[in-house]
Amino acid sequence: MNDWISDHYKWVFVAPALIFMVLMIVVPIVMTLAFSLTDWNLLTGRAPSFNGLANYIEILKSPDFWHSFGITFYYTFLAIAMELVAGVLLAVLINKDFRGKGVVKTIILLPYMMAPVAVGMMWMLFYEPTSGFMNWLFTTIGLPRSGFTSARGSVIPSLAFVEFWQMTPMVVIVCMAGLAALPEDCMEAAVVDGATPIQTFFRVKLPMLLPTIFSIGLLRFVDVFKSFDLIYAMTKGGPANASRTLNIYAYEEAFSYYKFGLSSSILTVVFIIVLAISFATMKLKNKVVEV
Amino acid sequence: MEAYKAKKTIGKIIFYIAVAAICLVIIFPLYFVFISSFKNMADVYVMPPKLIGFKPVFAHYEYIFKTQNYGTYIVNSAVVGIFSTLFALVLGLPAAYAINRNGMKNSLLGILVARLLPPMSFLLPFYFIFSELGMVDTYGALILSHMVLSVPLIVWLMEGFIAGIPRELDEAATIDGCTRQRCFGSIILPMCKSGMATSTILSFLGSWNNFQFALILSGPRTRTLPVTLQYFVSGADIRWGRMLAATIVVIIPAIVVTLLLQKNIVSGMTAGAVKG
Repeated sequence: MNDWISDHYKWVFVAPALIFMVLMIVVPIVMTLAFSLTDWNLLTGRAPSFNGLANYIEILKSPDFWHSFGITFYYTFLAIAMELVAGVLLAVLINKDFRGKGVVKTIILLPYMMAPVAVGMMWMLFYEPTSGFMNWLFTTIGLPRSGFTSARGSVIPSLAFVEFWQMTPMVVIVCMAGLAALPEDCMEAAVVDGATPIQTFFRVKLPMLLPTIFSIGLLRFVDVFKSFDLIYAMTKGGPANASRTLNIYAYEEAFSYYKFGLSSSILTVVFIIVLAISFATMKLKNKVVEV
Repeated sequence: MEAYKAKKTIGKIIFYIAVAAICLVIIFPLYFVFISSFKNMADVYVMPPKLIGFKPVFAHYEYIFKTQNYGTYIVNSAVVGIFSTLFALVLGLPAAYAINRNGMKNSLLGILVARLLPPMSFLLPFYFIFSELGMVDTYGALILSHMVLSVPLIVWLMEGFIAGIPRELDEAATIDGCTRQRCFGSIILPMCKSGMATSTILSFLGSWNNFQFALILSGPRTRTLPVTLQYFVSGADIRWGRMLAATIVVIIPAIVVTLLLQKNIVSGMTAGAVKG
């Protein structure tokens, strides 16, 4: 018996995890795909019946879907742009030996380890429109007051800022690892040749860090595009649907209106978008990195 | 020489100011929330805020533990976090070993694709299946659903750590007549303790912080901490003190773990990201 396991350990070791993943991920995904082709609605009480691509046609025609589509991209772009710029700069800044580096790294890591819902609640306190800290800060330094998450115009940037505050640490840590792997002689050569720190950054460090930036950018995209916790906790998609991203839209259709069929088709579309953009980014990365 | 030295000192000062500013942006909100959880309703709104020297009020913590069963919620979160991590390790560790030693790179690609899926797209079927089985609002449903996130995480991280252990060790052991399972249990696992620590921390915190799955699959009996936070918000009225006290309870473990085990977390994060 022992020998049999040893000889076939390859499959014996992988099988439990594989069976679990198939049951818990592949089967549900196939179910979601199947649901998306039905008119399943818990409220009507009827058994779901096959209706082909009707759900997909309905969402592609619906202005609500395109509104959410636009918002999701707006939110994702804002958050990722801030995270990447600040993350790379920060990583370059603290990527040297100085006293207290360990402490600084620990502090930077803190927001990332916290529950997004808790972070959302924290920022609700700062964003409180009448007497919150942010509006006090804004008026003190001479900026106009803002409604933050309670006004339609400012809700997405306000949410993106919280996402930025919480998730930039991940970019910093990964970029620092990328920097540590770069050959030192390039940096030394640049300094010997009389390059200023700014020139070294743009001409040497940034190009060499590009593969890392692509990888972490893609990872961040995948997470931010599907972001749920933070937005749901802070606004539930409001005010007046101004922050209803695709993921929140799918959640509402399923658990507020019980349109499981329609919700499944939205989720399938989200997956296709994420897959397509990830694939395109990988292609682009290979092209840019080769040159 | 003097000028060069002066320039260097100024550079150093600017550098430390920049680093201090960054730390402030992170620490200040945490400190602010922490002290606000000890203030009464009216004081929370006093601007400019009183950062020190106010009289602390413990009523909010008393309220959430005595009236709101936060003790139970902590137990729920801990049970789900511990068991989902434990079971995920049991499934994930051997798989990571076999995947690495046999070069099954396709399975890693599968994990990557699974990461692209919106969690909602397996939550919906989970909800359906678990309600058919009468498992909504049980620990079982929560543990199983959290494992969907932690098993791939553990396989992904441990594959990287095991890759760092030379294959010659396995070969030497098997030639001497050691079975693969013994070799795995008594040679490989003891050698990647720090990798296991990293996987355990990240998996447990992932479960502890999880909101979306618990929002749909938990109920009055199994409610976990993150889900409870939203109940302090009803319309425009937010009971700040109570909510912030609850928020502090949710984030304390994450902060403690980060302070103690920063190195492990960093190694896990970089191992996870660079491979992609």
